[in-house]
Amino acid sequence: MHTSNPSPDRRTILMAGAGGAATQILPDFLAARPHLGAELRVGLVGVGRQGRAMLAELGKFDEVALLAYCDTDERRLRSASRRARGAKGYATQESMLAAHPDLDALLIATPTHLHRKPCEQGLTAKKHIYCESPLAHTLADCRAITAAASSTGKVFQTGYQGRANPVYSLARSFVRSGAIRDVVSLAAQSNQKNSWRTPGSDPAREKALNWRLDPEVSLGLPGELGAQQFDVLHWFTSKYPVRVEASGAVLAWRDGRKIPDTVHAKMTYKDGSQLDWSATLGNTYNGTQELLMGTMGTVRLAWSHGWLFKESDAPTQGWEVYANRQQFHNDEGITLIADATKLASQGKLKKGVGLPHPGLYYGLESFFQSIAKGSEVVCSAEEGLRATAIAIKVQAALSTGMPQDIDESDLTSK
Amino acid sequence: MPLRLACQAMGTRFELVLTGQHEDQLRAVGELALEEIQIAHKRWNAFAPDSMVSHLARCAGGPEVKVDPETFELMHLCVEVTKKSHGFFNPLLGPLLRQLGLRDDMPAEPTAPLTTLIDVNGISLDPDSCSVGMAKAGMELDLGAIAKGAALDLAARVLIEEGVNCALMHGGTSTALALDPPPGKDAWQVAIGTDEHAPRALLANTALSISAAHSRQGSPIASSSATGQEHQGIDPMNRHSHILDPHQACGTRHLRAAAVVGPSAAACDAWSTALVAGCRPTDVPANLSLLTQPSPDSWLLSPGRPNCFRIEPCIPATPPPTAAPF
Repeated sequence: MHTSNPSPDRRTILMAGAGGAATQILPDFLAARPHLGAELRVGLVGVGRQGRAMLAELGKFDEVALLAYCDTDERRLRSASRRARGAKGYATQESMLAAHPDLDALLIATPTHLHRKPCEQGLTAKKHIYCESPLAHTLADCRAITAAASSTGKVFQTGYQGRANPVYSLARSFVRSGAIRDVVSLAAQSNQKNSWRTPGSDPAREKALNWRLDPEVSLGLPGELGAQQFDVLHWFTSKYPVRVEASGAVLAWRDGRKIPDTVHAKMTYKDGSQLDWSATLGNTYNGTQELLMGTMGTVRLAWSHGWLFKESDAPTQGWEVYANRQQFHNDEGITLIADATKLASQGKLKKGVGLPHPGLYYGLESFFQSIAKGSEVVCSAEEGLRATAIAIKVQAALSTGMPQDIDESDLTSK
Repeated sequence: MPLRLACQAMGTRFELVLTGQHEDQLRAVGELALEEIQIAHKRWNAFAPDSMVSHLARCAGGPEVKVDPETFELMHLCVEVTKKSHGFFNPLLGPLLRQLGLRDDMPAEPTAPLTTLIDVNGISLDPDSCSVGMAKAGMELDLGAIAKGAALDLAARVLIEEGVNCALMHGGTSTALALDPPPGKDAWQVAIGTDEHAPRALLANTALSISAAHSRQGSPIASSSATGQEHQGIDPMNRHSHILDPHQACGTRHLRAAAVVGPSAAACDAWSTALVAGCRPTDVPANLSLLTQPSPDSWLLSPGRPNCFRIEPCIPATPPPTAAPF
């Protein structure tokens, strides 16, 4: 079904500038400091890569105090102590909670297969929980976490960051208002060059640190890279695939690993449309991005930026005269900027290009806002379960070589 | 066989050369070190809106901002070098560069006289709360003349923690950091320039930074990247200069180049810039070794400094023609 001419948000205009015509999309994010209206005391569980990224963002919240962190790896604890001045480190979550019963919230950044226990422990201790994505490595663990989250009344947010990202929120409002009309194709990729190996001082530590390469517990590239993107596309389109096929191989890092370093997956939806997803650890070209192609245009999303590429026969809107256009080979995109009218009136339109914080910041900010102000959780445990369940199916298709059907019951918490 | 790894960060290419027994292990450690460089890039890149220094700029004129301890230490070093160099190193020159037409990015709010926007006394550091403040809206940090070195220092710490002790790293060829030398050697040798007879720095568990007054193009000397005090391209006030003299608000006319060796790549980075900008060698801390080039054909070792440089005699590439026998 067609929608009428896209009617852009009045708060959104397209920047005028040199270059081509990609449409870049942003909301009112320029306030330098978030205001929560309440002091929050948080603890961080796991200070590996993601935990370290959280440490960097936490410092930007004046009203959030990181009191404690924990990790079972001594070296990581030592490394975190250099980055978390004033907070105390612990070897276990139990000891951290015992020493800091006054914590309001826990941020869970342990390996994916180790999410369940800290989530359940934290919820039992009546803490608000932010759990990194994917939610868990099995559907059983996802359901256990979801059940625990629903029983406490505490805020539980899964760390699918697209839902908190201002660029993505604005792009979604565009797509859902019909700016690209009927979506005919979805595509996403996540390309990086990294062996995924972590050095370990002894075999036991090396095995623990290299959990992403352990087929027993890892969801591989679909889980660690794809799930974030699957969630974005489900959120934009409100639909979930009914069948998934996948193939992959070790092509870049032939070091005896079993987890493929290059993966292709095709997901089919009930209406016949498809999502093509690929990921590799052997090449960085075009990085991580998602494409939604419609009969009147294409939205391209790249986490800190977003563009709209219009079809030639798409109607022209009045605001397009202000549009910032960017050339990508033969295509012009338009840079959509939320609050652009206000920014333009202040002569600061270009400041709206590119997010002022990494995506993780917005995920944490929305979590803190939910605790302090009761605002809606951007990604609940149930939503987190659904995107994770798709990733689990993709990984199953990959490891068995067999297509996987996805039933509605696979995406529910019961 | 040494393992080479590289990444793009801070507008340039960082490269690591590691030696050791097990390539998989070396690669894993090297990738951790590169990750550290990327994290440094994300925090300290003034041209990325989502970096910590951009966040600090947005908060300028307001209360102090909590930062991570590594950013705090870097800010502390910036202020210290600025004061000791009598302002010849200055991390606040963005508004001045813009006024001189050397940066074409969007200006910050014009809220205060330029002299106050580039005054390092406007930076406040609170070690207890690990906070940094900038007194005036419109002040902005540009760490282009120090961040590469700081990133290398952090990467080196990762290598050492993970047991890789034999390595050489560089950022954009202008700042290098060496750990233990290769087996059987006393030091890593790094040429200061591309000329066959260019001076050599002998590095073992030390850092080296080179700054040059000339832009990369046409210069025989490796030079720093194009941000901050070290800028690329034509300077309308001094058309052959690559580094700004903050006191004259024009391209430097002091030294052609300066090389600094010392324990911290960040400090070497900052002091080499300060020297080319006009700082006196006597103001440089005694634990750093200096080699300066006041004119095209001469290199000077600062007296009294430990010698980690080797300067070859200048030998013409071809012998002069002999006199005709008549």
